[in-house]
Amino acid sequence: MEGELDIGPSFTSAMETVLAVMGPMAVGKSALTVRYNSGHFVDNYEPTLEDSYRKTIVLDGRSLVVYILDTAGSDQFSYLRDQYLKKGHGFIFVFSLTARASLLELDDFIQQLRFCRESDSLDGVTVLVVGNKADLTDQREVSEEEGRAKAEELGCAYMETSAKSGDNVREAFETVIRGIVDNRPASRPPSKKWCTLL
Amino acid sequence: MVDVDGACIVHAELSSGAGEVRKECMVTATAAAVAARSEPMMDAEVTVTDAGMGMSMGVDKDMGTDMGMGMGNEMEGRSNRGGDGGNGAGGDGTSVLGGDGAGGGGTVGVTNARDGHTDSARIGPAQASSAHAGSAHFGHAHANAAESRSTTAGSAADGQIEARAVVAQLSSSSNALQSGPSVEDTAPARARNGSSGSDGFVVVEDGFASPSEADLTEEAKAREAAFEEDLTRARARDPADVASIASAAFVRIVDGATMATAETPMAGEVYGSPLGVFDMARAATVGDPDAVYLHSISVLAPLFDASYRLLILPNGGETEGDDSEASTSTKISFKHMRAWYARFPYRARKNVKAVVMFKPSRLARATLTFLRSVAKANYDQLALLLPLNVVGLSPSEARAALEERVHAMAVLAGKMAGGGSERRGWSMLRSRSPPLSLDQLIASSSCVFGARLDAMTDDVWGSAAPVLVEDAIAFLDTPQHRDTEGIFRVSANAREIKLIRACYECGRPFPFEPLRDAALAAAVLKLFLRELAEPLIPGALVGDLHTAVGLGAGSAQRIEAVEAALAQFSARHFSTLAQLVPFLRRLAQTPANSMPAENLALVIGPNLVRLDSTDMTAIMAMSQTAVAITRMLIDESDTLFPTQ
Repeated sequence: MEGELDIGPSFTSAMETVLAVMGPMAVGKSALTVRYNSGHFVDNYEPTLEDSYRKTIVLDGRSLVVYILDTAGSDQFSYLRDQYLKKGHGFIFVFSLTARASLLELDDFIQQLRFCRESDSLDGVTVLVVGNKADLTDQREVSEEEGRAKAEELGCAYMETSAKSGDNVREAFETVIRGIVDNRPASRPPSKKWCTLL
Repeated sequence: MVDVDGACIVHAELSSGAGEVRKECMVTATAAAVAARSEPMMDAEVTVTDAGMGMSMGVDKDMGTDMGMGMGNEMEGRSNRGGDGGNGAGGDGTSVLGGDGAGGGGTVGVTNARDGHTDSARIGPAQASSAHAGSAHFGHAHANAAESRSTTAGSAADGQIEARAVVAQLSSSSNALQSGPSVEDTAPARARNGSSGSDGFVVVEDGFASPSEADLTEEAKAREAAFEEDLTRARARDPADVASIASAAFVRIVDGATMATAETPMAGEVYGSPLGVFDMARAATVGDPDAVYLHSISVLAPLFDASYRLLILPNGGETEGDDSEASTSTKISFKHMRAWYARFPYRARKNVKAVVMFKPSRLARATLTFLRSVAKANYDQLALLLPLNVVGLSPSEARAALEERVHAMAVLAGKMAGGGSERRGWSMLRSRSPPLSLDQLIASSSCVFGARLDAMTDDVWGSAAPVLVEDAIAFLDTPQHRDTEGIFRVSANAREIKLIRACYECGRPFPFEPLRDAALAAAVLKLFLRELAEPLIPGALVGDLHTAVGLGAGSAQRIEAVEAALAQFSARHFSTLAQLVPFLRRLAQTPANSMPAENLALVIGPNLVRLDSTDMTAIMAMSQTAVAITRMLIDESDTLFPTQ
């Protein structure tokens, strides 16, 4: 796929903003990511092993390079998940509003994130819980309140999106990216200097 | 309930002495707990996780019927209740508190509000206000609810879930008929507050108000006549047709008389009004909805003249959308059920005491909830409510107490095989120590998961593959389940997976059939493969197989190379692979599941190799290799494993 990158060495380099889209299988992670990146809806039913994209965006007047990792939902990749969770700056945890099991499965991700960060607080990490497939109103199994409650467990924001219609997709990504940028100690260079002086 | 696949209905009539007020409690196997008083049935010690939700109804002749739906989130160590609701207003009344949600959990308790007490009415404020606005009795219940520490207000979720729709439909249609003079007496059951109840069970009780014939609307009379015509038509069917459709056994009547056996002598007394059982999955095998309908009414008609209950077993696995799919024209869906119920005559709807929908795939988790509740409940009452059919236990008494409990869990969870000693079941259920957590159990055993194929004992290894693999494939490799969209891809309930795992670890194979949940069986199979101590494709042979991928598809060289590698597999590894791959091939050839070979390879391949490196790039590379190999094996399956 175009824009695909080797996530190996470059993954952790300092100035990148790394955003991982995570969640159980078949909830629409790839659909969301592709929608955000290229503006169209992919309707094919193909599991993802991993895709990554580099996107240059202008947000609040600033130009940023964002790595977006579209991850595998399969449960067998928990080893990989650790890596994402340790190294990512921001996460979109996606579940499907039409599949309750997918919401429940987010618990695993949440636990794993806490474990990786070795802390119950998620300071310095930006997380957004996203309920996708909002367009399928007649198949909906999870209410907005439930989604919100899940987000509250994490102390993060909640949004409902539709990769198909595009609703809220851009907003969701930008919320996380903005969160990452705001979280980032912008004053790092000066403070470093100050430390050196000491 | 011996005859009902995958479902246990517990039923008791708590006699009120006076008998002027009907008391009936139904608890489905989705969960059960009993408390006589307001003592919380499930409190902070409860460790049921996942969201639980449900709806419940209380029935009280003085007040009519009301119903609350609630939803809660029971987290480990927290005291939130699952769906909670019901009424407990003044006067004798029994409320059924229900809880269970798609996630599973929730609790069901039956509380008995006697003598004007409302202490049992733990109604979440949300459902309280909507289910019951305007009731003079309600203020008390509401206030009480506010005090109840374990109550979670049902979220006023706006779920548009099938089951809820059915409830609404069922109740509204019955209300339409009950346009009796006294509005108060027929306080309509409302499925407001829509927490989604797509899973678990739904209890709708109606028919308690008894408007006179004169109150029937013209429309209702017309419906009555139409139904009689239907019935005549049903009775005039060709006996050969009847016999053929009857063989599908999708509808039947179960009553106390059929329940009472030497092993369950109490059944007759406890059982209560007869039950019409309608099994949607079996009905689907008939194909013709009209034939199904005619046969059902001809079977069920004898019930209509007196109190009865209706149990509907939905098709497992499917949770939504079965109304809209074009391919489901021959599938018996909720839409059919609704339409049929709407055609039932007035007397049938007047006499129905409960319509229960029960999703078999929730059984396992429900039982867990049930067992946990046991430790806290009033044992005498529990005894009344115990599922009469699920008391068989393993004869191996020598096992550790821990294992014994899980055995029981397995037995209970399944109802399954039946048989076993009732006495043992009872004593287990009365024991006060709580069951061990599943995680502890799983951590302490690795006879099945995490074992080596070559070291498996005979009871774990079946004839050509591990018992679990054989069970899962036998279940999934059927036309019905091969069609499951996203099979091996979509999520299954993590807790159910654990439970099944625990059952296998304890030598209690868990029959998948009654669960009817293809996603669950597939997830268990994947987990099993992933956890093997030595992966199905041994690390030493990955390289050889990967080389073969590069050779031309279907070419003689490729086949030769693969066969050379397979020849180095141990007998059991090869044999298991030979079971698995042709099965995947059949899945790949089923377009309805949207899982062609490349998709299956993607989700299954990484489970077949060792992936525990900490280096991300290495894991990725190995995964891709595994996917490619799996894809090749599926593609060449017919040549490589020709006997299948």
